[in-house]
Amino acid sequence: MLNTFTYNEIEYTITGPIEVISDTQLHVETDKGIILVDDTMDIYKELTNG
Amino acid sequence: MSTFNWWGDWRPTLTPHTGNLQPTDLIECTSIVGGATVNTAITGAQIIAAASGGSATWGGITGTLSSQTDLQTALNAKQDTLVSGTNIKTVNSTSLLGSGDISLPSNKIAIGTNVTGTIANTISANALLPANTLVTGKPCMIHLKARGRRVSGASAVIACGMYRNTSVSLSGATFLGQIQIGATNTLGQLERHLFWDGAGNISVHFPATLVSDMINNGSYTTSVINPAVDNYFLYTIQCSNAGDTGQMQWGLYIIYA
Repeated sequence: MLNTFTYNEIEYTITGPIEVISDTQLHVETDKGIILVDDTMDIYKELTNG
Repeated sequence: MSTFNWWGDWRPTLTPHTGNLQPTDLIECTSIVGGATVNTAITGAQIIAAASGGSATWGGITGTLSSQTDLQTALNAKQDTLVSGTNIKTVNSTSLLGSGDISLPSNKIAIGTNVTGTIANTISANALLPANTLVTGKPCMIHLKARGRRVSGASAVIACGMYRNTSVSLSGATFLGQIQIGATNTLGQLERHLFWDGAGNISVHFPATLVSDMINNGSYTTSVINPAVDNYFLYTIQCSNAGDTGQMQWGLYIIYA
């Protein structure tokens, strides 16, 4: 399972649960806090297909 | 008999007087040139002009400076050259020397816009945390407060959230906290206290869905922040019924340094 992703040149490591907060947005718990991932980010598709 | 090269006298035709030399005085000097007498007339005005110096040429003051009492008094009245951190303090590590304005970032308040027609989490208000507000080596606390309200509709909950990002966008934003306004409620307030460690990190007490982080001993979450760029605090509304309208009535932050 994917456990790292990079956005705006920052690398995040997924450390906890992924919460769906709307049909286009997720809350992803990482080593740098809980990050809002939406469908404009490449990682969104990977996480929702995973 | 003595031999004189020069001799002279007041011009005998002038009226004699006592006291200081006058410009109209005239002295006649005589010398022997080639065996003949040559007379040279010198006026009092010429002597006075020569004595007063004409155009001044400045140089080093000989003697003791403090003995030049008027000059010393004038020098004593002058302010020392300002040296930041020596005889003039800094403000939050910012030098006050030079021209320009130093804006104070504290107490930033933002008024929100209505969010309706969507069930996605949406920014209603934002407040800029300007670049370099947070200073390396200077820890501080940032107190965020916000109040969300139901503008219309009463059929579902409305979530009021706080995030941080380097642009006014929720993509990649760091979640700070959230509360829900119940289906029959109209207002909800929340607050969070962020701690800047002075080294690159911000931590926040993390009872994620409670009104205040002052009423629970939950865990902390730490996120990296780049203080050298603009950051934004984002105040969001998420209606669980797209027909409802919510608004962050206001959101603000206060820095306690």
